[in-house]
Amino acid sequence: MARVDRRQFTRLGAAALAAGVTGSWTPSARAAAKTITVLNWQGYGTDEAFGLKAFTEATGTAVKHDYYNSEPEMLTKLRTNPGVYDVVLVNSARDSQAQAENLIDPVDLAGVPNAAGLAPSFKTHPNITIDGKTYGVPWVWGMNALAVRRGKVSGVDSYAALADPAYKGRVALFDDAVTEIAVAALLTGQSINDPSDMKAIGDKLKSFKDDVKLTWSSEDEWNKAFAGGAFDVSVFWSGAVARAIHLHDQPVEFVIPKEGAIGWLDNLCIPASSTNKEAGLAFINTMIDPKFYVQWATGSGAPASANNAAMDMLPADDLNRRIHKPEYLSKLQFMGALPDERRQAFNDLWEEVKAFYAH
Amino acid sequence: MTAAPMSRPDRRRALGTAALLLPAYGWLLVTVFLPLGAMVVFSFLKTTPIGGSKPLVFTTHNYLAFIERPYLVDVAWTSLRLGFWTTLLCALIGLPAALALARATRGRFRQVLFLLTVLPFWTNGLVRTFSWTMLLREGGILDDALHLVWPSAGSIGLLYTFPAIVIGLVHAYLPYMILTCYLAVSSIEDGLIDAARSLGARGPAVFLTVILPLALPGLVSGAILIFVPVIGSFMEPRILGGRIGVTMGTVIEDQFTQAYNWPLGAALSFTMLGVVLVIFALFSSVLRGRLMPAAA
Amino acid sequence: MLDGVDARFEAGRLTSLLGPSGSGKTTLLRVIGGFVPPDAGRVLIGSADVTDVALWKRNIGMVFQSYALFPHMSVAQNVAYGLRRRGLRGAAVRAEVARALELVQLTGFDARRPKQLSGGQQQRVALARAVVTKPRVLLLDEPLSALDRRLRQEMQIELRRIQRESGLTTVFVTHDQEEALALSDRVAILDKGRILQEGAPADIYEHPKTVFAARFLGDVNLFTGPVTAGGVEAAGALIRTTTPMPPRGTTATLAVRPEKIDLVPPGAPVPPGNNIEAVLMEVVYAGAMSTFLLSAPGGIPLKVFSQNRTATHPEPGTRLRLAWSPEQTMLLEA
Repeated sequence: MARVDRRQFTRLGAAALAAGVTGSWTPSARAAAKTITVLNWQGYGTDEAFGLKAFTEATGTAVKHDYYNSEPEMLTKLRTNPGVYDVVLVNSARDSQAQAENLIDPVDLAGVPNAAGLAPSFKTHPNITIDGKTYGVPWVWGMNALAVRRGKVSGVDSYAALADPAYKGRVALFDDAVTEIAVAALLTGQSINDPSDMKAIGDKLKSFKDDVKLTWSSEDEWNKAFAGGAFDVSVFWSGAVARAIHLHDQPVEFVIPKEGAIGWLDNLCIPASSTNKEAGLAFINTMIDPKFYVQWATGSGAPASANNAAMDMLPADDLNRRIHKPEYLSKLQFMGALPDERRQAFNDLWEEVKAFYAH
Repeated sequence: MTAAPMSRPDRRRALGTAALLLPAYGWLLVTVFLPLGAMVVFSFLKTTPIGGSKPLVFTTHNYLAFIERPYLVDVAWTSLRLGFWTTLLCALIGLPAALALARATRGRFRQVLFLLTVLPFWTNGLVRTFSWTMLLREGGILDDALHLVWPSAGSIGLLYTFPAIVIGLVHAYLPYMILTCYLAVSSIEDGLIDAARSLGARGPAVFLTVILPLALPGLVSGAILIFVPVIGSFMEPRILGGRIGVTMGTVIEDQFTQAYNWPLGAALSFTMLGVVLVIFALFSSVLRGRLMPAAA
Repeated sequence: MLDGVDARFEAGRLTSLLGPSGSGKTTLLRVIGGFVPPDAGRVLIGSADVTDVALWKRNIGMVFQSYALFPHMSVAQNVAYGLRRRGLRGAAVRAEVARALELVQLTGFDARRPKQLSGGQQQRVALARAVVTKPRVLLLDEPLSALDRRLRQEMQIELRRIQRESGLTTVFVTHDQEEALALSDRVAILDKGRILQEGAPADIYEHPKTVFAARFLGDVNLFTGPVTAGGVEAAGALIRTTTPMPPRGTTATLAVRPEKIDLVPPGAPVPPGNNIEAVLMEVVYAGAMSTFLLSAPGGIPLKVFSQNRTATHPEPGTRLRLAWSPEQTMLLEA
């Protein structure tokens, strides 16, 4: 589901924009191949002003943006606006769903020069590879694991800390069904995308009850509560930890427990109904350009790049780089496709667990 | 028997009236009744019907939510408790405030007090609620103040407790009660108080037999204005309640934003609406029963 | 504000406090009632000093100008209010309420609400409510001022009857002199916080002490001029009175009520006593009687009331002779 960057930026009120822009486009209103439309979260890299300016100057193609606030909304926009969008950001876990509805085209990575620097494991990642074809260009990634208060908490190496009596009332959980069930799945040795024993997961989550102080749903909320000293151990995002240290001076450490961490990968895709696929692909190429990434990451802040060459260009002491070491990739279980019924079951279980915590 | 046809001026007047009412009721229709109607339809669907080529499947399954998910009963009870406590506290604080405003102040002073009363309306709800976190948390402003006066006291961590949610809600909704009670109380003529006193009533008797019954309409409308939104509230429970801040409001919000299960969210909303209507029906018949014999 | 008021109200009698707005009559009433404590002085009811006794203990009955009926209670509940405050319940209350409603002739109105009643009926409920507790003093603050003329006259009679039947010591505030004269056993005239004159209605009507009192209690014709033997020179004549006069040379004011003056038909013999000539300016016809507005020498305006024995009147412009007796000529302070 959603991640820090998206949630944080969408709270800046993209909703009205989205409602207004959708449906106001007709193909005849656009000059052919001189403008492309990108569908993404607001403030999530593709709309960085410097990047757009460089791209337009280099290719003569202008870039317009449309935004969404949730993954279901993104799918809806693709379904109901054929021909409108030329580039779309998709959480790789949703690729198979989008492909099954013929919403996105396969991408030939050979035609994307900067794709040469992509981490091999991402290029062939199961989320984006369907029937042997690649359906998106890996762009950015991150991990969900534990964040602990430096100086007060030490020696944590397992998610079992979330139930440890030593941290009674000092734990904060991420209010997201997919993530929390994944945590419990890791603890009970199950697959995070297809756990077989939901009851064990439910029981494991309920065992955290005494430790849990609160649940958070946005990076801003996490920062406020952590700064106020409300908790010491929490489930959190890797990129957000980097930002908390770099921007807000918080005494926090990112810990990848022995059970592993939950990974996510975002990729940039070409909508099947686009009429400017070449221009769209050129734009994607710019987005994975290491120079663009470094300016984006050191300027506004970004998740980890799927492009190793880009990560290598970051300063050695860059937090983002230090936290997102390529060797961690093997310890991750990536969030993958979930059928609707299973997603519903996850949501229902999490709702039940939250109610359990409350009484 | 046919009705007499309207004469020309009558018809013009009727059209004029219709024209004046049209904007307001047209607006109401479009922005309230149509979406609500859509939601009623949604509540009988199996999955959210936006986009996708899946056929619509109708079911009453969602209305069995309280039976299939027994934890919802506890959650609903929490919402009702929040509604009850918030309304009660708003009444206990609001009525005396309204009385003071109506009877003990005048002119510029009263206007200033009024402004202060509605100040919470001017502040952004999120900002307001977050500032309560700063006041209430351990090591927060309240805690520090207590320790200034009484250093050895244990820390008061009110944040993430039921009282914290109530405090945030009372702060947000108190102006409604003050305003409705003010309207009711300001229509009490001075002579009534004098009359009651001249007939032998002391302070408490004057309040119970004259002021309270006449302020009752204000209390009731204030209660309605407060109870209904409070039991559906999710912002204050989320921000001030932490782990225990799970209410029907947060559950329904989750269905719309996280779980993308609009049918369930809609069904839960209408179920809560039904509960509220039942409560009002009970309450109003109790009130009517008490007011009729009105043995002073 | 009151200014050194010393008033006495006879037990069992109805006393009116009469005066213009701002004269302090309502303030005096409220001091008696205990709504306002006096800055100085005492209030005694009977032999008991109640100055420091709280309003709710004072056992007074008050009828307000606005009636102040409790809108959320029925007529019976309104009337019963004072009784219940004293701890009465049940059958005893119902009996007393029935008796009070019978006194004001509203039997059967128990279940009505104040807003269903007419002005006169509301007034009677207010009265019943005030008297049912058998107060020591009944206070009425311009209770009839909201009623129309006919209703007011009926209520005046009712009020009188009720007061006589209940025997309550009653203090009645009004600005309407006719009302005061009709209802009261005694009248006290107030102006600017002081009591100017007090006495039985006929007394102060026939013998006002000041110009203000004379004017307030009805119409009056004034003659101001230098004092001579037994009278005053004014309007080109000597106006005489039987009242002892101040020393010669000073200025004094004599007055006579309009109804005491005869219009002498031209040619008829002039009666003894005072008489002057005046020019008729206007006749105001009022059915049973007419008001003659005349102008006397020196520009003095005169008013004469005369019953309409005949249907004909002199024309404006006619010179008429006015005659009245010196006994009925009053000496007034300024």
